[in-house]
Amino acid sequence: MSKEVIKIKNLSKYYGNIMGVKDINLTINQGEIFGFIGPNGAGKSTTIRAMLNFLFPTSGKIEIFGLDSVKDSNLIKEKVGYVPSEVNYYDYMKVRDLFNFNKSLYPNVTQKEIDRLCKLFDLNQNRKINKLSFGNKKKVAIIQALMFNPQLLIFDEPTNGLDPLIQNKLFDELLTRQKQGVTIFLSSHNLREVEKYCDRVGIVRNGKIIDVKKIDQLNNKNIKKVVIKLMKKINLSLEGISDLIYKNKELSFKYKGEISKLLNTLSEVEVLDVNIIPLSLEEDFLDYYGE
Amino acid sequence: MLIKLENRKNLKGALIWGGILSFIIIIYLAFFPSMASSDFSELINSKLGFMPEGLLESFGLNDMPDFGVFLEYFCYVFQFIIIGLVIYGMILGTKSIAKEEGDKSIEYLYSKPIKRSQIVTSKIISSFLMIILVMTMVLISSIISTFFLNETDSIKVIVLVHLFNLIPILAYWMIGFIFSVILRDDSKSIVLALSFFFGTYLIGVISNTVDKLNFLKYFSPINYNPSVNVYKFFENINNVSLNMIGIIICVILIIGGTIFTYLYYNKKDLYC
Repeated sequence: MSKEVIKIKNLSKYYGNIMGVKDINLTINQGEIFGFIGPNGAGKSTTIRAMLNFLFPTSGKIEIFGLDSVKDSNLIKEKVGYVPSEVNYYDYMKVRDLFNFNKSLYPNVTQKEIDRLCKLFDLNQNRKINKLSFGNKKKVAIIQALMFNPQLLIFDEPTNGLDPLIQNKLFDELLTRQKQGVTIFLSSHNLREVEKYCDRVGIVRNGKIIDVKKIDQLNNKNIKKVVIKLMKKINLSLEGISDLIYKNKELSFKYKGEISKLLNTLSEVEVLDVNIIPLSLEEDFLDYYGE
Repeated sequence: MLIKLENRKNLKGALIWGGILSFIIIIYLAFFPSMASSDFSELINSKLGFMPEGLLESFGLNDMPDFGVFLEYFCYVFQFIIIGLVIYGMILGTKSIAKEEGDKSIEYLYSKPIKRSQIVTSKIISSFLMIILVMTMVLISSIISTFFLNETDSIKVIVLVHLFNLIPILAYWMIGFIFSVILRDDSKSIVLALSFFFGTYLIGVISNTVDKLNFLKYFSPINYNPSVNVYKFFENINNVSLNMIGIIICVILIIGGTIFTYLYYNKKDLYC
């Protein structure tokens, strides 16, 4: 059995009478990349902040590495690298100063590792933080979170502001660390990156976890999205078709079943063009975002 | 390391405040020879004679300062410097925690293996050091002025007046910390600090002016022991005594405020 790294039990957080999250239950195992998705204001940040003891739970409990998130917060943070969605540091500092301060908080951080990460993410350590672009500030946040070889990474929108090349480098680095047993908790609105890199995904909405799914067991893996261009409207009847929409001489629907059966059916009607594409997690999960 | 970080944030402001207050005291003291001339003393004394006694009391001038005596003139000038130092201390205290929450840089510190009490300690120590730095700059300026004015005999009293005034400054500074730990950001911290200070200052003035409202003087730490009383107490002049209740209130504010800040901050939610 895999070792549990994060265990959230019946977590609720209220801000006065306003609910932040309610009855969150979640277990994340060592070496997992866990995606945490949901609309704005759903409770993702509240959950993360409770995990890091920025906030005190109204009720419930969070254990990280078997330690209590409130009582043992300091011990937990020795092993956790955190990247916030909005990066705010001391503007008067140079990147190097911040890294030196960060280095002083952990044992065994080497300058060699800092330099390697700066080279990997193409970041100049001699620049002042207030002169950095949003994307470069994000790189600072990522490097300070990675430099001390943490066992758990909590990343809130880490790729927001990063160019695609750096995004790829980041995930290469994360996958390497995952192989070394590092657990990664990834809160993101980028559903494609969640689909590509995460092992499981938790969907939070209106302060509650509404689903936790394994990416490789998702139903959508067998569902295709079909778009057909037609001369005139047709009535298509085939088992496995859903969400059928006809608009501007274009018929689109979701299809779950054997492709040969679909092609046979289509061969009987006058078709100008056909597009059959696997349904992405993005399309599947957009349902969770809507009302 | 955390204190270093705080010092670096606060140093520039401290040097500016220290520089301005030092400049003001040097300029004021440079006028002493002119003020000490008999014609001017007579003019000032006759003008002050028209002011209400209560108002003079509120400035510690009820005994009519003799501007011919250097230390009396110094204490008169120092009243205004103390106002500056108290405002600096109070703003420093009020912004200490709230500014970091407003700037959201606190999120970085919270994510690190740093106890909340360490964050508070570093802010208290650093801002205390900054107040001492500003006070020292003013003190050095006052002492240097005595050399130019041939009043070096007054140095001992000047040092004592400076040290004694640390008590109300630190009381206001710690009240600032209480505000800071309760506030969610620093957007209103300066307005709050200034309103509170001038509010209490005004209460002190009113309590000295209206006999029935004399009890209100305890709401104004800056008026407990005017500098001129401190000077006369240490020099055994006119049997002037110190307001011990005022000193005790200040000490309670400093200790109580420190305890409150730690307790509140250790249980505070971060809303950034």
